[in-house]
Amino acid sequence: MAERVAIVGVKEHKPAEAYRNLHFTSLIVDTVMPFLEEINMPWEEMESLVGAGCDMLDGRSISSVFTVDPMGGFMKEESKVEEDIALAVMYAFMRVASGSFKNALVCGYGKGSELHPHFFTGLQSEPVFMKPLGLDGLTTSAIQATAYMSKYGVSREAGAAMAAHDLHNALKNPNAQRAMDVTVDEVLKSKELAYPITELEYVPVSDGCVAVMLASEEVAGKYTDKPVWIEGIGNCNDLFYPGHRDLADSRGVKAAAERAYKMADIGASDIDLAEVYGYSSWQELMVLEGMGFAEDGAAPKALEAGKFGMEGELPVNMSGGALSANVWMACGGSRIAECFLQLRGEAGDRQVDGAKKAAAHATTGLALQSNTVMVLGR
Amino acid sequence: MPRKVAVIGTGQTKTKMRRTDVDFPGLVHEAVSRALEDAGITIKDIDAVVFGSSPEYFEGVNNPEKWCLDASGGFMKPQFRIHTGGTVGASTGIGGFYHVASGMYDIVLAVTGDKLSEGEVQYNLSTVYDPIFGRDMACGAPSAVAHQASRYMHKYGVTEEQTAVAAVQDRKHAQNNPYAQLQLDITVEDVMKSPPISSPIKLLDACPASDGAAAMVFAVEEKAEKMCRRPAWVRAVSAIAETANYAYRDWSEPIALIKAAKKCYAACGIDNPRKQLDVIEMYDAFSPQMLIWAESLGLCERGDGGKFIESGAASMEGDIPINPSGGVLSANTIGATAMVRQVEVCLQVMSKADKRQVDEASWGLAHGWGGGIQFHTVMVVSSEKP
Repeated sequence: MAERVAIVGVKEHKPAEAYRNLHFTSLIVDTVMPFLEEINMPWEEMESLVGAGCDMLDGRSISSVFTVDPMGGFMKEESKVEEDIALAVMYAFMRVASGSFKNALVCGYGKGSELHPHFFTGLQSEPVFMKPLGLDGLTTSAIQATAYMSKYGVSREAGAAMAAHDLHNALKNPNAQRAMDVTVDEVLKSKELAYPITELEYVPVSDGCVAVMLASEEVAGKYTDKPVWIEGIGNCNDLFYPGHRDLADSRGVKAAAERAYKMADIGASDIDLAEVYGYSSWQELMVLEGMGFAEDGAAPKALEAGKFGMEGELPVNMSGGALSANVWMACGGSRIAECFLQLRGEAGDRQVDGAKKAAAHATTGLALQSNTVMVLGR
Repeated sequence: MPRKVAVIGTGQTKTKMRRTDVDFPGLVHEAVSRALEDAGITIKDIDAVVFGSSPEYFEGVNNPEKWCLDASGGFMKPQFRIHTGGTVGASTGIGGFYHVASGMYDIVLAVTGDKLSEGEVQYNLSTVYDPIFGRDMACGAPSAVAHQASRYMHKYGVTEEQTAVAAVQDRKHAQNNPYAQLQLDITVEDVMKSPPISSPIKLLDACPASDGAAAMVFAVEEKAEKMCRRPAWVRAVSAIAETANYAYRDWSEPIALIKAAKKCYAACGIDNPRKQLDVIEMYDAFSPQMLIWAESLGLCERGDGGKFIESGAASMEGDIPINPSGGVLSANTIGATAMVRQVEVCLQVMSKADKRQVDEASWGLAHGWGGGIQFHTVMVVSSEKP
C-alpha cells in the first residue's frame, strides 16, 4: 500500500422501522452534516465521496443523482458502489491508499420501509428459474439453515440462542431498533417466517444511514487523536445459484477472512472482538465459523460455552448485530461503526475491555454469496 | 504517489438493438472472454473484478452483479458493482485503475454492460425525476438534453444544421467500426428532415438503445510491461459531480467536465489539449452535446463548437479526431457506453484500432457523461509511460 488509511470518524443515524416523515435525502443530510462538524472537517476539505445506495430500494433510476448533494459531493471526486457500505468503504480505502486522495467520505443509506420486505432480496433472483420459486433473502436463509442443521446435527435451538444473544446485547445499544431479553424458547415461539426461521431470528425492516470518514496517515491526526486503522480487507464472491453451492459450507466467508487476515498479517486468534452480519441468526453462526472463531458446525457450542459473550474470549455483536436493525446498504457500516467505537473505548455500557483488533463482516446477495471482512486496529 | 497502471487488454461485443441469443450474463461473458484473450491471459491471472451496470430496472434484476458473477469471472474473487448512471462504464474503468493503483491487486478485470432490450429504457429513465416535483414533466433523457441543447444554441447562436454535422460524422465513423450498431450513410439534410423527438433533438440527433458489454484488463507497471508489447498507460483519471438542481446551472457550461478536464490536463502537463491529444472519445448521446463537450474540453473557444465541428477538425482527417468508433450516437448500451470510450482510446494508443486507427495516436482522452446532466468523467491514456 502506498499509504496507511485510518477511519477517523463514524456516524450512525438511529435506525427505525420507518421514518415516514424523512425522505432518503433528509436521512443523509441529518447524518452527514453533523458528522462533518463532529470531526471538525470543513466541507471544503472533504476531497472525495463514495456513496452506497440502491435504485431498486429508492424507487428511482440513478438515485445518486439526488444523493450526491446531500452527501456533500458537489464538485468533488465521486463514485457510487451499489452494494452494502462495507464494499464502498473497501473502494474508498483503495482510493485513499493509492495516494490519490487524503480523505474520503463513505455514506450508505436505505429505507427498507418503502419496499415490500422481501423485494430487495427477492428481486436479486434470476427471472426464469429462481423467481417462480420465491427465492429471496428469507427463503434462501431458511434452506441454508436446514442444510446446516442436517450437515452438522445441530438442533433448532442453536439459531434461537444466537438470536437471543444478539437481542440481549442490543439492550445496551442506544441505536438498536429491536432489543429484548428473550429465552431460546420465546425465540422459537415467535412467529414462524420460513422453517426453521422465526421472526426473532431474521433481520427486521429498517430505515437509516451510516457515514464513515477515511483519511490518510498524513492527515488523520487532524480529525482525531484516536484513529482506527484499516489493517486488512478481504472480499470473496461465491457462485450465484444456491443450488450450485453446499449451502452449509461457508467457503466464501473463509476466503474473505483469510484475505483480510493475511493483509493484516494476523490470525483469527488475534481478533479481540467481532461484528458479523447475517440476514438470519443461522447465517451469523456460519459466518463465525467461516471467520475461524469456531470449527465447522461448532459455533453453537462455542456460543453456549460463553465464548462470544461480553466476558467471553471473543465478544461478538455487542451492538446487537443485524437482528437489532438492518438498514439495507448501510448495515455493514453499523458493524464497522461498532468496532470503531469499541476500539476507541467509546462503546458506553457495552464496552469490552482492552480490545486492540476487531473484525467487521458484511454480506450481500442470497445465502451468503458475497462476503467482506475488515480487520480494524487501534 | 499511485502505482503506475496500464490497460493490457480490452474486449467488447457487437452492439445490437436486441440480442436474442444471449441473456445479460451471456453478454458479459462475451466481453470478458475477449478482453482476457486480447490480454493473452486467463481468468486465473485476475486478482479482482469490478462490475458496472446502469439502473437495475433495465434488466429487472436487483444487484445484477450477483447474477452475472459466474459470467464475469468473479467466482471466489473480490467483486463489487459500481453504478453511477451513464458514467458507470467510465466509473468502473476508473475503479479498475484504483484497484491496481492502491497496491491491493496487480491484475484487475473491469466489466460493464446492459441489455436494454429487456425493458423500456426511457420509461425507466423517467424515474430519475422526482416523483412529486418532476415526474409529471419527465420524458426520459431526450427532454432534459433538449433543454441543454436549446440553452446552448440560444446562447451562442449555434444552428441545428451545425449540430447535425456531429450526427453525420459519428455515423460515418461508425462505418469503420465492426462493433457499432448504426453505420449510417446520411447527410445534414437527412438529419434535419428526421422526425422531432424533443425539439431541437430529432431522431437522427439521438443515440439508439443497444444490447452490449465491454471489458478492460488493468495491470501494474511491472506486469504490464512483461505482458504487453504496447500497453495503454493510464495517465490521469477524474470523476466529478455537480448538483442535480437544474435551476442553478447553465447547462451550456458543464462545470463538472471543465474541472475534471483541468485536473487531468494538469496531471499530464497538457496546456494545449487540441495539439497535445491525438484522439478523443466522448459521450455524445445527442448530437449538440459533442459541441458542448468539445468546448468544455478546451478543443475550441467557448461558443465556437458549431464552427469547430463544421471545419472538419474532429473528423478522421482533422487535427483532433473525435469518436473514430462512431461514438454514442452509433451505439448506446448505457452500462458499457462510457467504458467503450475508454476501450476505444486504449485501442488507438495501442495501435489496435484497425480501420478506424488514427495515425500515430499516442495520447487519447475518454469522456463519460451521466446522471441529471451532472456527472462527468475523464480518463487520459498514453502509449508513453509516465
